[in-house]
Amino acid sequence: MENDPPTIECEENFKLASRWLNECLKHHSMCTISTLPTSPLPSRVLDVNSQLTPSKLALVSSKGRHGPYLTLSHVWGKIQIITTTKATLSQRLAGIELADLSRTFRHAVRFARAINVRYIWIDSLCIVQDDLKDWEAESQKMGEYYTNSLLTVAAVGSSDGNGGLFLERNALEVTPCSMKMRFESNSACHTVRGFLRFITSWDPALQVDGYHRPPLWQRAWVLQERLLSSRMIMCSGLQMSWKCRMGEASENCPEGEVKETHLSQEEAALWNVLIESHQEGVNGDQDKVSQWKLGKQVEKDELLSLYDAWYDLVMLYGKCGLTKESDIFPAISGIASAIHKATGDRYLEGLWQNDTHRGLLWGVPDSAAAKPDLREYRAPSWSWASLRGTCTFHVRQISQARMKVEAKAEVSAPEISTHTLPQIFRYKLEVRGKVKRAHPMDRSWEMEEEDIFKDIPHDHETLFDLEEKEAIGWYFADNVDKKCLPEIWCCLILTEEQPGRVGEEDEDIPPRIEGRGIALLLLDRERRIYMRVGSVWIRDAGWCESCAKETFSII
Amino acid sequence: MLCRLCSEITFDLSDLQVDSDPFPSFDETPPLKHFFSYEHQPSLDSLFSSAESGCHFCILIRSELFHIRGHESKEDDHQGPVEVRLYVTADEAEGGKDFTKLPREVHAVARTKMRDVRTIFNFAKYERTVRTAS
Repeated sequence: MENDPPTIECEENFKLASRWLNECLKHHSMCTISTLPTSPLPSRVLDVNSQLTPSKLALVSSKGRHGPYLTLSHVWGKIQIITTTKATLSQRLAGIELADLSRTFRHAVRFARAINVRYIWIDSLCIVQDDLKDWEAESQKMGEYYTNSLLTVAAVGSSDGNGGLFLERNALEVTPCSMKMRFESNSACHTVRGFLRFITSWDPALQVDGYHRPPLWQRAWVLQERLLSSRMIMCSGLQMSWKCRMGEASENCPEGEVKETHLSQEEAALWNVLIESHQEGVNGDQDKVSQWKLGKQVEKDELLSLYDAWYDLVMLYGKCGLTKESDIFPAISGIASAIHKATGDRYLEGLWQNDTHRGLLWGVPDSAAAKPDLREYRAPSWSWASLRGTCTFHVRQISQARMKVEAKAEVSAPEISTHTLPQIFRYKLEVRGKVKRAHPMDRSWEMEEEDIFKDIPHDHETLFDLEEKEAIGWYFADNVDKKCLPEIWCCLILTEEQPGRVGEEDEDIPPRIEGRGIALLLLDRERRIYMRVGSVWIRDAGWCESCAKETFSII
Repeated sequence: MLCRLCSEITFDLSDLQVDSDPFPSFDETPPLKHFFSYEHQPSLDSLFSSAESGCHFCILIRSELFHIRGHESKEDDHQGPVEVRLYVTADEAEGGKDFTKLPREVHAVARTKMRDVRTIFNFAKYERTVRTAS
């Protein structure tokens, strides 16, 4: 009675994957835009059908050739996987034994051969890992490599190279079940044949957020690999699934479903950007792209959605793991570059010039606030990238109609640190706005409250003006190291109009204007240089009214 | 392959029942309330045993129950039995239309002490591209 359950690696599944791919290429106009048959090959690719023996493949330089290729999305993990280095480059060009590849890579090669795609791009083999120049050049193009790829193969369920693409599982747990059902009534009896399958099934490959997401979706580099790929074959411990811009399919639902709503907000917004930016590249259609570019009222809402999508991505990105802290910007640069190409907006250190006022107002959830400072420099204090862990952008929920920008901020030309290799570009934010001194209260220090704040009436506020002896709002430290500061400087970034409302027991709450800003630590009084230490929420923005605007820098 | 219980699923069309706690629909349509019932496995143990023996439908039910019940620790509260329900729309129930028309929503309901645990299926006609592993 027991069957031998097939694994994902079977001829039937390869045929299924080919069918999904062909259907998409033939019928999904939205998906084919960025993967034209003439897509340029990456600088180096693995040729899985070279003239060598079947037990070998070869690393080849594309030399400007065009053609379809696959990309692999995988977790490097803690085990050493095969790479290309300066010392092994000539060996790799001469040929690579399949046996020398990790299990995941072997499976990827088998998959490419099975669906008749000759080239595959795998980061560890196609980038010379210890050649800084090559790594920098290639990592900048990674976004394009995934965007232009015919199909990305994602080893969703493997936490290292030993895991493989094709995991052992019981196919009967997902594939439709052939059944017959009898219907009996007083007058007749009918037998109906059909297939039973889950209406909605739990698929780990679709869990891209949360604690239960599979290993691949926990990695920071993979975020852009997933979002920039037009088509993905995802292999989890449950099943092989398909996702493209226009639909989804799986072993549970092999015929697939064209869906309009299966893309998340950030996926949908980003996809519009990719289409627009690609059309510019392909057609030279500057007019079309310029509609997206800044300053056009008609596109303002779309731009706002795009920035919102960016903030959503940044939040998700912060929840993902990064082995090297210095990869914080390269690992998401493909997405930033696509947005820049479509909007023309300036991107520096994680923020967009035309949305700086919102980009600066990131907040820190408890999980990230509990962490100490990073030990090495990776971003200026005003950038979300300086934070260890995820951040939030609640400020994006503020209605544009009720919002007024109070400070103008612009990123200045970088100072280059000559003490580090590679050189670090340190960007300063030049701000024209109001700053005012305040005193944060750390509620965990009750003695402090007794001594300094005891005579000041307050209702759970954590920010005080000791000169005026009043509670003015709340201070949210960026991390534990920034919690216990004797004083901070509040820089109001924007104000929000709060309509009045009728409160309980006839206590009407009058309309008021609240202030949102960043908390700064004064580093150099003479040169007016500050660093960010947290964010502030000022209950009444009038508190800053008496201050004159000044120009200062935040590093 | 299917176990005896799964290969003999039969609905008595003279016994239309009404769900007192209908499951919300996956789209905008009102939840389906009317169903025909078939007594399937008498307990979860027998369901799991049938799944172990390779019955495809029992494997599917077990697979989804595992995910639904994964966070629930008190095994004693989840013993079954399992009932298979074939749902029809209110219009069909009132008009006595052709209940054998597919597709249909089918629920495998594990009746437990605490609550019913449902695995929800679509029973559809064979389509060229739908494969089965059995």
